[in-house]
Amino acid sequence: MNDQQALVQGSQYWMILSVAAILPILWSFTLALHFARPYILRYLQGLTLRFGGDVWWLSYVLIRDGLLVVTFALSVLFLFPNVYMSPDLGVPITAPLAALVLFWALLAKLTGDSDDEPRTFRIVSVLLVLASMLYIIPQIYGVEAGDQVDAWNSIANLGGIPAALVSGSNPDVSYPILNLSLLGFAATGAVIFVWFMKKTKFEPADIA
Amino acid sequence: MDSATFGAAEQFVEGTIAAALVVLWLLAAALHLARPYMLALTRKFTLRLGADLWWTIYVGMRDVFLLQVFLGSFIFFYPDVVGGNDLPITGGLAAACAFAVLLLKLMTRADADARSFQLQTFLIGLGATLYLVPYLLGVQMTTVGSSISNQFASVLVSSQNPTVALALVYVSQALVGVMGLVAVLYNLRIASPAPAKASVSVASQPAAQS
Repeated sequence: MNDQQALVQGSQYWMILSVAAILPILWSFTLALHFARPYILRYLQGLTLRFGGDVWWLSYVLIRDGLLVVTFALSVLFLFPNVYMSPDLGVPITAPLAALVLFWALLAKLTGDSDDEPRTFRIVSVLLVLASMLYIIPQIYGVEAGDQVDAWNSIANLGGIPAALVSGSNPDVSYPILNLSLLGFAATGAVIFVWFMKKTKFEPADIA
Repeated sequence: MDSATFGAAEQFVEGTIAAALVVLWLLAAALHLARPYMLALTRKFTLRLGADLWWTIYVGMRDVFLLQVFLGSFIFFYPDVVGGNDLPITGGLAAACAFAVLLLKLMTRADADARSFQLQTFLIGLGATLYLVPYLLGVQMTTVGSSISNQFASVLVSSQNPTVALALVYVSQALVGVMGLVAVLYNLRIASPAPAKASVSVASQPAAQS
Protein backbone atom coordinates (compact mmCIF):
# COMPACT_ATOMS: atom_id res chain seq x y z
CA MET A 1 0.00 0.00 0.00
CA ASN A 2 1.52 3.34 -1.04
CA ASP A 3 1.39 6.55 1.00
CA GLN A 4 -1.64 7.92 -0.84
CA GLN A 5 -3.69 4.77 -0.27
CA ALA A 6 -2.61 4.67 3.36
CA LEU A 7 -3.68 8.29 3.80
CA VAL A 8 -7.09 7.63 2.24
CA GLN A 9 -7.67 4.47 4.29
CA GLY A 10 -6.46 6.11 7.50
CA SER A 11 -8.74 9.10 6.93
CA GLN A 12 -11.68 6.79 6.24
CA TYR A 13 -11.04 4.88 9.45
CA TRP A 14 -10.74 8.10 11.40
CA MET A 15 -14.00 9.39 9.92
CA ILE A 16 -15.87 6.16 10.67
CA LEU A 17 -14.53 5.96 14.22
CA SER A 18 -15.45 9.61 14.75
CA VAL A 19 -19.03 8.84 13.67
CA ALA A 20 -19.01 5.82 15.99
CA ALA A 21 -17.82 8.00 18.88
CA ILE A 22 -20.33 10.78 18.16
CA LEU A 23 -23.32 8.46 17.88
CA PRO A 24 -23.71 7.93 21.66
CA ILE A 25 -23.99 11.71 21.96
CA LEU A 26 -26.61 11.78 19.19
CA TRP A 27 -28.42 8.89 20.86
CA SER A 28 -28.46 10.74 24.17
CA PHE A 29 -29.68 13.89 22.43
CA THR A 30 -32.43 11.88 20.71
CA LEU A 31 -33.54 10.30 23.98
CA ALA A 32 -33.38 13.60 25.84
CA LEU A 33 -35.63 15.31 23.30
CA HIS A 34 -38.06 12.39 23.10
CA PHE A 35 -38.43 12.18 26.87
CA ALA A 36 -38.54 15.97 27.30
CA ARG A 37 -42.09 15.87 25.89
CA PRO A 38 -43.87 16.44 29.24
CA TYR A 39 -41.61 19.44 29.94
CA ILE A 40 -42.21 20.89 26.49
CA LEU A 41 -45.98 20.40 26.82
CA ARG A 42 -46.02 21.90 30.30
CA TYR A 43 -44.24 24.96 28.99
CA LEU A 44 -46.54 25.07 25.96
CA GLN A 45 -49.55 25.40 28.23
CA GLY A 46 -47.98 28.46 29.83
CA LEU A 47 -47.68 30.37 26.57
CA THR A 48 -50.35 32.98 26.19
CA LEU A 49 -50.39 33.34 22.41
CA ARG A 50 -51.25 30.65 19.91
CA PHE A 51 -48.47 31.89 17.62
CA GLY A 52 -45.82 31.41 20.29
CA GLY A 53 -47.22 27.98 21.15
CA ASP A 54 -47.13 26.88 17.53
CA VAL A 55 -43.54 28.08 17.07
CA TRP A 56 -42.44 26.37 20.28
CA TRP A 57 -44.16 23.03 19.51
CA LEU A 58 -43.19 22.92 15.83
CA SER A 59 -39.54 23.73 16.65
CA TYR A 60 -39.53 20.93 19.20
CA VAL A 61 -41.06 18.36 16.83
CA LEU A 62 -38.81 19.41 13.96
CA ILE A 63 -35.60 19.15 15.98
CA ARG A 64 -36.67 15.91 17.72
CA ASP A 65 -37.67 14.08 14.55
CA GLY A 66 -34.85 15.56 12.47
CA LEU A 67 -32.35 14.31 15.01
CA LEU A 68 -33.97 10.88 14.95
CA VAL A 69 -33.53 10.68 11.19
CA VAL A 70 -29.91 11.90 11.36
CA THR A 71 -29.13 9.26 14.00
CA PHE A 72 -30.75 6.63 11.81
CA ALA A 73 -28.89 7.76 8.71
CA LEU A 74 -25.53 7.62 10.49
CA SER A 75 -26.38 4.24 12.04
CA VAL A 76 -26.88 2.74 8.59
CA LEU A 77 -23.09 3.03 8.22
CA PHE A 78 -22.77 -0.07 10.40
CA LEU A 79 -24.70 -2.16 7.91
CA PHE A 80 -21.78 -1.92 5.47
CA PRO A 81 -20.03 -5.29 5.77
CA ASN A 82 -16.56 -3.86 5.08
CA VAL A 83 -16.99 -1.34 7.88
CA TYR A 84 -18.72 -3.55 10.42
CA MET A 85 -16.58 -6.67 9.98
CA SER A 86 -13.22 -4.89 9.70
CA PRO A 87 -10.82 -6.12 12.41
CA ASP A 88 -8.91 -2.82 12.12
CA LEU A 89 -11.91 -0.64 12.93
CA GLY A 90 -13.72 -2.24 15.82
CA VAL A 91 -17.24 -0.89 16.10
CA PRO A 92 -19.95 -1.79 18.68
CA ILE A 93 -21.05 -5.35 18.02
CA THR A 94 -24.77 -4.64 18.27
CA ALA A 95 -24.65 -1.41 16.23
CA PRO A 96 -26.57 -2.94 13.25
CA LEU A 97 -29.27 -4.19 15.64
CA ALA A 98 -29.49 -0.70 17.15
CA ALA A 99 -30.06 0.70 13.66
CA LEU A 100 -32.73 -1.95 13.00
CA VAL A 101 -34.60 -1.22 16.25
CA LEU A 102 -34.41 2.49 15.47
CA PHE A 103 -35.92 1.68 12.08
CA TRP A 104 -38.79 -0.02 13.92
CA ALA A 105 -39.25 3.08 16.07
CA LEU A 106 -39.47 5.19 12.91
CA LEU A 107 -41.97 2.67 11.50
CA ALA A 108 -44.09 3.04 14.65
CA LYS A 109 -43.97 6.83 14.32
CA LEU A 110 -44.91 6.60 10.66
CA THR A 111 -47.84 4.23 11.05
CA GLY A 112 -49.12 5.63 14.37
CA ASP A 113 -49.26 9.00 16.05
CA SER A 114 -46.84 9.03 18.96
CA ASP A 115 -47.86 12.57 19.92
CA ASP A 116 -51.55 11.80 20.32
CA GLU A 117 -51.71 8.09 21.13
CA PRO A 118 -50.20 7.03 24.48
CA ARG A 119 -49.77 3.45 23.24
CA THR A 120 -47.65 4.48 20.24
CA PHE A 121 -45.69 6.86 22.46
CA ARG A 122 -44.85 3.99 24.81
CA ILE A 123 -43.87 1.69 21.93
CA VAL A 124 -41.58 4.33 20.44
CA SER A 125 -40.11 5.04 23.89
CA VAL A 126 -39.29 1.41 24.58
CA LEU A 127 -37.81 0.91 21.11
CA LEU A 128 -35.65 4.02 21.44
CA VAL A 129 -34.34 2.97 24.85
CA LEU A 130 -33.60 -0.53 23.56
CA ALA A 131 -31.83 0.77 20.46
CA SER A 132 -29.74 3.26 22.40
CA MET A 133 -28.69 0.57 24.86
CA LEU A 134 -27.72 -1.73 22.00
CA TYR A 135 -25.40 1.00 20.77
CA ILE A 136 -24.13 2.80 23.87
CA ILE A 137 -23.31 -0.22 26.08
CA PRO A 138 -20.91 -1.95 23.62
CA GLN A 139 -19.46 1.45 22.67
CA ILE A 140 -18.56 2.30 26.27
CA TYR A 141 -17.63 -1.14 27.60
CA GLY A 142 -16.20 -2.50 24.33
CA VAL A 143 -14.80 0.07 21.92
CA GLU A 144 -13.84 2.64 24.56
CA ALA A 145 -12.59 0.13 27.16
CA GLY A 146 -9.91 -1.75 25.20
CA ASP A 147 -7.19 -0.51 27.56
CA GLN A 148 -9.08 -1.67 30.66
CA VAL A 149 -8.54 -5.41 30.10
CA ASP A 150 -5.90 -5.79 32.83
CA ALA A 151 -7.86 -3.70 35.31
CA TRP A 152 -11.06 -5.65 34.70
CA ASN A 153 -9.21 -8.97 34.86
CA SER A 154 -7.91 -8.00 38.28
CA ILE A 155 -11.45 -7.29 39.51
CA ALA A 156 -13.34 -10.42 38.53
CA ASN A 157 -11.68 -11.82 35.42
CA LEU A 158 -13.89 -9.61 33.25
CA GLY A 159 -11.14 -8.73 30.80
CA GLY A 160 -12.86 -10.57 27.97
CA ILE A 161 -15.76 -8.12 27.87
CA PRO A 162 -14.19 -5.39 25.67
CA ALA A 163 -13.18 -7.83 22.91
CA ALA A 164 -16.56 -9.59 23.08
CA LEU A 165 -18.39 -6.31 22.48
CA VAL A 166 -16.35 -5.22 19.45
CA SER A 167 -17.44 -6.48 16.03
CA GLY A 168 -14.05 -7.04 14.39
CA SER A 169 -12.64 -9.14 17.22
CA ASN A 170 -15.71 -11.35 17.58
CA PRO A 171 -16.69 -12.40 14.04
CA ASP A 172 -18.54 -15.55 15.17
CA VAL A 173 -21.18 -13.33 16.76
CA SER A 174 -20.93 -10.23 14.60
CA TYR A 175 -21.46 -12.02 11.27
CA PRO A 176 -24.89 -13.49 12.24
CA ILE A 177 -25.85 -10.10 13.74
CA LEU A 178 -25.02 -8.38 10.46
CA ASN A 179 -27.02 -10.89 8.40
CA LEU A 180 -29.97 -10.71 10.78
CA SER A 181 -29.93 -6.92 10.69
CA LEU A 182 -29.78 -6.80 6.89
CA LEU A 183 -32.73 -9.19 6.67
CA GLY A 184 -34.62 -7.16 9.26
CA PHE A 185 -33.92 -3.98 7.33
CA ALA A 186 -35.21 -5.47 4.11
CA ALA A 187 -38.34 -6.82 5.82
CA THR A 188 -39.05 -3.53 7.62
CA GLY A 189 -38.54 -1.58 4.40
CA ALA A 190 -40.95 -3.91 2.62
CA VAL A 191 -43.54 -3.43 5.38
CA ILE A 192 -43.24 0.36 5.04
CA PHE A 193 -43.56 0.12 1.26
CA VAL A 194 -46.68 -2.09 1.44
CA TRP A 195 -48.23 0.12 4.14
CA PHE A 196 -47.59 3.20 2.04
CA MET A 197 -49.10 1.61 -1.08
CA LYS A 198 -52.24 0.59 0.80
CA LYS A 199 -52.59 3.89 2.63
CA THR A 200 -52.04 6.27 -0.23
CA LYS A 201 -54.98 7.26 -2.34
CA PHE A 202 -54.53 8.84 -5.69
CA GLU A 203 -55.67 12.44 -5.64
CA PRO A 204 -55.79 14.67 -8.67
CA ALA A 205 -53.13 17.31 -8.55
CA ASP A 206 -55.59 20.16 -9.12
CA ILE A 207 -56.91 19.76 -5.54
CA ALA A 208 -53.59 21.01 -4.21
CA MET B 1 0.27 8.34 7.89
CA ASP B 2 0.16 5.97 10.86
CA SER B 3 -2.26 5.31 13.67
CA ALA B 4 -0.31 7.68 15.92
CA THR B 5 -1.36 10.59 13.70
CA PHE B 6 -5.02 9.68 14.04
CA GLY B 7 -4.59 9.00 17.74
CA ALA B 8 -3.21 12.54 18.06
CA ALA B 9 -6.16 13.89 16.04
CA GLU B 10 -8.56 12.09 18.37
CA GLN B 11 -6.78 13.53 21.41
CA PHE B 12 -6.97 16.98 19.85
CA VAL B 13 -10.75 16.63 19.38
CA GLU B 14 -11.23 15.40 22.95
CA GLY B 15 -9.03 18.17 24.34
CA THR B 16 -11.02 20.72 22.35
CA ILE B 17 -14.30 19.35 23.72
CA ALA B 18 -12.89 19.58 27.25
CA ALA B 19 -11.91 23.22 26.67
CA ALA B 20 -15.26 24.06 25.05
CA LEU B 21 -17.03 22.61 28.08
CA VAL B 22 -15.56 25.38 30.22
CA VAL B 23 -17.36 27.93 28.05
CA LEU B 24 -20.54 25.85 27.95
CA TRP B 25 -20.63 25.47 31.73
CA LEU B 26 -20.13 29.23 32.18
CA LEU B 27 -22.87 29.99 29.65
CA ALA B 28 -25.27 27.50 31.23
CA ALA B 29 -24.67 28.95 34.69
CA ALA B 30 -24.90 32.54 33.42
CA LEU B 31 -28.19 31.95 31.60
CA HIS B 32 -29.66 30.17 34.61
CA LEU B 33 -28.69 33.01 36.93
CA ALA B 34 -29.92 35.62 34.43
CA ARG B 35 -33.54 34.64 35.10
CA PRO B 36 -34.44 37.71 37.25
CA TYR B 37 -32.98 40.03 34.61
CA MET B 38 -34.93 38.28 31.84
CA LEU B 39 -38.14 38.39 33.88
CA ALA B 40 -37.71 42.11 34.61
CA LEU B 41 -37.21 42.80 30.92
CA THR B 42 -40.21 40.66 29.97
CA ARG B 43 -42.46 42.88 32.09
CA LYS B 44 -41.33 45.98 30.16
CA PHE B 45 -42.61 44.71 26.82
CA THR B 46 -45.67 46.56 25.58
CA LEU B 47 -46.52 43.89 23.00
CA ARG B 48 -47.48 40.47 24.29
CA LEU B 49 -46.00 38.73 21.26
CA GLY B 50 -42.59 40.28 21.94
CA ALA B 51 -42.68 39.18 25.57
CA ASP B 52 -43.65 35.64 24.63
CA LEU B 53 -40.90 35.38 22.04
CA TRP B 54 -38.30 36.88 24.37
CA TRP B 55 -39.14 34.43 27.15
CA THR B 56 -39.38 31.46 24.80
CA ILE B 57 -35.99 32.21 23.25
CA TYR B 58 -34.46 32.64 26.70
CA VAL B 59 -35.87 29.36 28.02
CA GLY B 60 -34.91 27.52 24.83
CA MET B 61 -31.32 28.80 24.87
CA ARG B 62 -30.90 28.19 28.58
CA ASP B 63 -32.07 24.58 28.39
CA VAL B 64 -30.27 23.78 25.14
CA PHE B 65 -26.95 24.99 26.61
CA LEU B 66 -27.47 22.77 29.63
CA LEU B 67 -28.26 19.84 27.37
CA GLN B 68 -25.13 20.59 25.34
CA VAL B 69 -23.09 20.54 28.55
CA PHE B 70 -24.35 17.04 29.28
CA LEU B 71 -23.88 15.81 25.71
CA GLY B 72 -20.36 17.26 25.50
CA SER B 73 -19.55 15.59 28.81
CA PHE B 74 -20.28 12.19 27.31
CA ILE B 75 -16.53 11.69 26.78
CA PHE B 76 -16.23 11.38 30.56
CA PHE B 77 -18.13 8.08 30.37
CA TYR B 78 -15.49 6.48 28.11
CA PRO B 79 -12.90 4.69 30.29
CA ASP B 80 -10.11 4.76 27.69
CA VAL B 81 -10.61 8.46 26.99
CA VAL B 82 -10.59 9.43 30.66
CA GLY B 83 -7.60 7.22 31.43
CA GLY B 84 -5.56 8.35 28.43
CA ASN B 85 -6.19 12.10 28.26
CA ASP B 86 -5.57 15.09 30.51
CA LEU B 87 -9.16 15.70 31.59
CA PRO B 88 -10.74 17.11 34.78
CA ILE B 89 -11.05 14.17 37.15
CA THR B 90 -14.58 15.06 38.28
CA GLY B 91 -15.92 15.82 34.79
CA GLY B 92 -18.21 12.77 34.92
CA LEU B 93 -19.73 13.87 38.23
CA ALA B 94 -20.28 17.35 36.75
CA ALA B 95 -22.12 15.68 33.85
CA ALA B 96 -24.28 13.81 36.38
CA CYS B 97 -25.13 17.17 38.00
CA ALA B 98 -26.17 18.60 34.60
CA PHE B 99 -28.31 15.53 33.99
CA ALA B 100 -29.90 15.87 37.44
CA VAL B 101 -30.91 19.45 36.57
CA LEU B 102 -32.48 18.24 33.32
CA LEU B 103 -34.35 15.57 35.27
CA LEU B 104 -35.63 18.20 37.72
CA LYS B 105 -36.83 20.33 34.82
CA LEU B 106 -38.67 17.30 33.45
CA MET B 107 -40.32 16.16 36.66
CA THR B 108 -41.17 19.42 38.39
CA ARG B 109 -42.87 22.66 37.36
CA ALA B 110 -39.36 23.94 36.69
CA ASP B 111 -39.89 27.69 36.28
CA ALA B 112 -42.89 27.93 38.59
CA ASP B 113 -41.49 25.90 41.47
CA ALA B 114 -39.19 27.92 43.74
CA ARG B 115 -37.81 24.89 45.57
CA SER B 116 -37.01 23.06 42.36
CA PHE B 117 -35.35 26.20 41.00
CA GLN B 118 -33.18 26.49 44.12
CA LEU B 119 -32.16 22.86 43.80
CA GLN B 120 -31.35 23.39 40.12
CA THR B 121 -29.23 26.41 41.01
CA PHE B 122 -27.34 24.39 43.61
CA LEU B 123 -26.72 21.53 41.17
CA ILE B 124 -25.55 23.86 38.39
CA GLY B 125 -23.18 25.55 40.84
CA LEU B 126 -21.91 22.18 42.04
CA GLY B 127 -21.49 20.88 38.50
CA ALA B 128 -19.66 23.99 37.32
CA THR B 129 -17.35 23.79 40.35
CA LEU B 130 -16.67 20.10 39.79
CA TYR B 131 -15.70 20.87 36.21
CA LEU B 132 -13.97 24.25 36.37
CA VAL B 133 -11.82 23.73 39.48
CA PRO B 134 -10.01 20.57 38.29
CA TYR B 135 -9.79 22.01 34.78
CA LEU B 136 -8.17 25.27 35.85
CA LEU B 137 -6.07 23.94 38.74
CA GLY B 138 -5.26 20.57 37.17
CA VAL B 139 -5.50 20.27 33.39
CA GLN B 140 -4.22 23.81 32.79
CA MET B 141 -1.31 23.47 35.23
CA THR B 142 0.42 20.40 33.83
CA THR B 143 3.16 22.42 32.13
CA VAL B 144 3.76 25.03 34.84
CA GLY B 145 6.37 22.83 36.46
CA SER B 146 6.28 24.00 40.08
CA SER B 147 5.97 21.46 42.87
CA ILE B 148 2.52 22.75 43.90
CA SER B 149 1.15 22.66 40.36
CA ASN B 150 2.53 19.14 39.90
CA GLN B 151 0.81 18.07 43.12
CA PHE B 152 -2.47 19.60 41.98
CA ALA B 153 -2.18 17.94 38.59
CA SER B 154 -1.39 14.55 40.09
CA VAL B 155 -4.71 14.69 41.94
CA LEU B 156 -7.01 16.58 39.58
CA VAL B 157 -5.97 15.32 36.12
CA SER B 158 -7.55 12.03 35.06
CA SER B 159 -4.51 10.59 33.24
CA GLN B 160 -2.26 11.25 36.26
CA ASN B 161 -4.69 9.76 38.76
CA PRO B 162 -6.26 6.95 36.72
CA THR B 163 -7.45 4.75 39.59
CA VAL B 164 -9.67 7.45 41.08
CA ALA B 165 -10.61 8.78 37.63
CA LEU B 166 -11.85 5.39 36.41
CA ALA B 167 -13.75 4.80 39.66
CA LEU B 168 -15.47 8.17 39.14
CA VAL B 169 -16.27 7.19 35.53
CA TYR B 170 -18.17 4.13 36.73
CA VAL B 171 -19.89 6.07 39.54
CA SER B 172 -20.98 8.76 37.05
CA GLN B 173 -22.24 6.13 34.61
CA ALA B 174 -24.29 4.54 37.38
CA LEU B 175 -25.73 7.89 38.51
CA VAL B 176 -26.73 8.92 34.99
CA GLY B 177 -28.06 5.43 34.26
CA VAL B 178 -30.33 5.46 37.32
CA MET B 179 -31.55 9.00 36.57
CA GLY B 180 -32.15 8.06 32.94
CA LEU B 181 -34.22 5.10 34.05
CA VAL B 182 -36.25 7.39 36.32
CA ALA B 183 -36.90 9.73 33.38
CA VAL B 184 -38.03 6.86 31.15
CA LEU B 185 -40.34 5.42 33.82
CA TYR B 186 -41.77 8.88 34.50
CA ASN B 187 -42.59 9.30 30.81
CA LEU B 188 -44.10 5.84 30.50
CA ARG B 189 -46.17 6.33 33.65
CA ILE B 190 -47.72 9.63 32.63
CA ALA B 191 -48.33 8.32 29.11
CA SER B 192 -50.51 5.53 30.45
CA PRO B 193 -53.83 5.17 28.60
CA ALA B 194 -55.98 5.70 31.68
CA PRO B 195 -54.28 8.15 34.05
CA ALA B 196 -55.60 8.29 37.59
CA LYS B 197 -56.07 12.06 37.36
CA ALA B 198 -56.46 13.51 33.93
CA SER B 199 -55.56 16.96 35.19
CA VAL B 200 -52.02 16.01 36.19
CA SER B 201 -51.27 14.13 33.00
CA VAL B 202 -49.43 16.10 30.38
CA ALA B 203 -47.91 13.45 28.14
CA SER B 204 -51.24 11.83 27.40
CA GLN B 205 -52.75 15.11 26.26
CA PRO B 206 -52.98 15.47 22.51
CA ALA B 207 -50.27 17.72 21.24
CA ALA B 208 -52.62 18.99 18.58
CA GLN B 209 -54.05 21.46 21.07
CA SER B 210 -51.26 23.85 20.30
